[in-house]
Amino acid sequence: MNLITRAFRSKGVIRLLSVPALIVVVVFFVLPCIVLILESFGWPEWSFSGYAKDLIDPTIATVMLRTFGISAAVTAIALVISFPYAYLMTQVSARTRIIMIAIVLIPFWTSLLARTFAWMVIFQANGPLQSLLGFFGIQSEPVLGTATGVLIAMVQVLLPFMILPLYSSLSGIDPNYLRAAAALGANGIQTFFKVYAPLALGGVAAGTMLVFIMSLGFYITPRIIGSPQQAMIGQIIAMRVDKFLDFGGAGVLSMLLVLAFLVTMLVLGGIVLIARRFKTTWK
Amino acid sequence: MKRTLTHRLATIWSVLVAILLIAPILIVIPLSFAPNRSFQFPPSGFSLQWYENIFTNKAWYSSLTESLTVALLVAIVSTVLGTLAALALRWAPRGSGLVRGLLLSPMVMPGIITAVAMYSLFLQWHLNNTLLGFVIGHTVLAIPFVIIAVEANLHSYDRNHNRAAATLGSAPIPTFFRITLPQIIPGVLSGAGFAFITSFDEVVLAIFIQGPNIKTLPVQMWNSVRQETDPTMSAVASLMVVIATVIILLVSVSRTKKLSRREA
Amino acid sequence: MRKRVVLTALLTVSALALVGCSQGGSSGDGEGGSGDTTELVFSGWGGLVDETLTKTAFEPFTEDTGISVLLDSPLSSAKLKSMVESNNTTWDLTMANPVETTRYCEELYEPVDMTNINEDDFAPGTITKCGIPNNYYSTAMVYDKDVFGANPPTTLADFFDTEKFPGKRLFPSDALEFALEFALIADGVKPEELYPLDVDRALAKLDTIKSDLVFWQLGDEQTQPMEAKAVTMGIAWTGRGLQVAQNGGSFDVAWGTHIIGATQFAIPKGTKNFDAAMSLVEFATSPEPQARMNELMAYSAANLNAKPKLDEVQQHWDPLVGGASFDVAFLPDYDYWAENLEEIQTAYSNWAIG
Repeated sequence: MNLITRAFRSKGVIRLLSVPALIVVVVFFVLPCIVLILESFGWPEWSFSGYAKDLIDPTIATVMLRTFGISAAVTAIALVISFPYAYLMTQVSARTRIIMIAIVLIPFWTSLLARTFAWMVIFQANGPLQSLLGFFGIQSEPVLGTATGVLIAMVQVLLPFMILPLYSSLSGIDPNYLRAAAALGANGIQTFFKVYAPLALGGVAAGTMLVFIMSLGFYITPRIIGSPQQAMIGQIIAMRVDKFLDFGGAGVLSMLLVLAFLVTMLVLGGIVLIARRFKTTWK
Repeated sequence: MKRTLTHRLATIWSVLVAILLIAPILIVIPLSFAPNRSFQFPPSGFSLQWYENIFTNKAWYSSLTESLTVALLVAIVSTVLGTLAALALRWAPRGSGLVRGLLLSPMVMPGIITAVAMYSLFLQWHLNNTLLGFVIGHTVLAIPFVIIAVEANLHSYDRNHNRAAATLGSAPIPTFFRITLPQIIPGVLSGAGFAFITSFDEVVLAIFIQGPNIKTLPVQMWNSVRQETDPTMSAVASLMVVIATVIILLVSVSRTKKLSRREA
Repeated sequence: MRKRVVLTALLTVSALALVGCSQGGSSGDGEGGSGDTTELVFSGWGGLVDETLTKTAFEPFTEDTGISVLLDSPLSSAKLKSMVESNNTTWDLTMANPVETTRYCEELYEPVDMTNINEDDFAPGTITKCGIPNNYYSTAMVYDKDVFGANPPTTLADFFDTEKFPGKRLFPSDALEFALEFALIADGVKPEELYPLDVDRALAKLDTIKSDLVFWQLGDEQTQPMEAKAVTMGIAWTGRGLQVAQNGGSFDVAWGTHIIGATQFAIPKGTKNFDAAMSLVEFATSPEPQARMNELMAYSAANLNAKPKLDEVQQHWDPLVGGASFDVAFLPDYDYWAENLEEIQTAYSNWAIG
């Protein structure tokens, strides 16, 4: 017993806790992906022609930029919308909080396909949205098939994925810290930025990453709500697989997407590091 | 004074957010009573034929039960695996970058690629068209969500609790169940919820690995919305909304009651 | 707290047990095939087509032969390719486009056995080495009678005339729905000189009305805008136009502007049940089930000997009956398409996406 106890306290054994998950992910995900990457290089031969072609293709560049643009916009909008809501959840009475959680969970537990379908109906020509706007005397074009439609639908579909981690982290913030800050003479804005926001960072990071990454790979919603002019990279990949049976070409695009994402994260991480460095020097 | 103003603004904002969250999905309910094959809104009449279709049409009914089975199993397996992994990542962070990268990697892959990659290997391993294949495939996709949810909670968890427990003679495993788990339970539960919904909602991989033996609900829905105007889709969507609402309200009511009892 | 631990343990054990069971249950999978066929797996596009085929062809076939037909829709060429490449074909019969059966003949599909099939029963050019047609469909110009009733558009040139015929227009987002062909005809190219397609010329022509186009990819994306009168005209499947007309919509078709396409049955390469699949094809394409299919769906029977009983509206919209025939319609060149599939689809989708 003592041995086990000691073993569990050592980092090595704790590290072993990740092994079961690691085995499942490596065998059933990483391995298949490696095979796909090999195919993107024309396996069993070795060629970069797929990459060379896509890197200079202006359409691929347009769609890649659009994918990152839409994802960033969706993430930012979702964060702005969610934060006050998640904040309020930590402030209200337990009873109100239960209602607020229920309101997030109802769409969360309703399938993505069902919600996308609902938006399709709302946005369609002579649909509820146009009727509503018409009621207020606003003449409008149908939103189905426009970038606005894709953006609204994606935000609403992904909102719970932002609110839940945000709330989960905000609820862990000890209100005594805030009271202490106030007692020490900090005003509301100072308290928010100096005390609250840093403590909330874990949840913000989790929610932002989650929503951004899910947006990058979105395929169903832009396909149903958007028109070709809003096509995202997932749709091009799907087209290569579905129509051209071009697994290698699909592999090329997914590699490019992953690389672009990693570069974005590195740059953002770099900015944060530099900013932090500046802050310390400044002080 | 300032705080009440913030509070008031946040309240107004939150009411709007609540409308954005709920109103759109309610729209499918009137649509499900359409008298003909049309998504016209509001519908031109009333009929229950699409509800009847869910339960009499074998394709719709069996896909519903199969989806529930898969999602439940995935939630259990991936929550156990993911929570263990999150503890390891959090408590032994040195050199865990690669491990974290690998474990979270299913999230950065667009679904379609994961689907294509998995499908070809699953074919050789005879995992397509089986419950096991679905559970494995969806577990892989769900593990990152569990890890993220649990880690977010561990972020504010103070490990001194464990040290204190150890000093008092508690062994690690009981310590985990008595001290750690109760504190990170919101994260674990939200991870399990993410896992369930990841599986229940997953459509792209499902389209590939499904077969005559097993076909989940999203496959059936995608099938339906893609080809024909089939208001059974609205009926299924409405049922989902109603069931989710009822379950959540029941849970909420029981929690509120517990709350009142505690107050009394 | 103890209760919770026990519960977790129980749940985990039961999960593992269930997974274990499923493994045991499926171990027999993929082994059968030596004896006589008792079961065929069909993969179609799903929805109404599957429902109708089940009623008109599969169920009667099962009654006759005792061979049951399992449905495994939706089909996906990618899935088919993976199956064939790993020698693990689980489909015995699938639907396909003649372009696909030409392009991937002997690669993904088995050549059909023509012993019991009479080529003259079908429209010329619609039987390919690896596919037998199940039905014909038509893509044509449709327009709103309420808007242009007095002076309707009659030619594809009218489709590009946004001054005389203002309003949004439905248009296919997939080149394989013959988007480029329509543009070229409108630009004055003769149907017999369409191929090889002049992609640049077609795209330049389409550029002139791009801002008025409402692209459709899914079937429903055609019906809904017509029903809601969000478009005044369109290039759409006549089957969808019929659906709108049957729901009381005001759209009509301009016959003579249409292209006729065929959908086919094809047998995936490597199936263990080729003979049984072939007899199902023979049965499904015989006049009797074909006529019933035609009556239930807005698609013409492929077998020209079929005698469906159609009502007036159905007749008006039927590509083979409604005042139209193969003389005025143009048929796509499947061989050309099969050879240039990627190139044309990529060029067109790049234009649409950009």
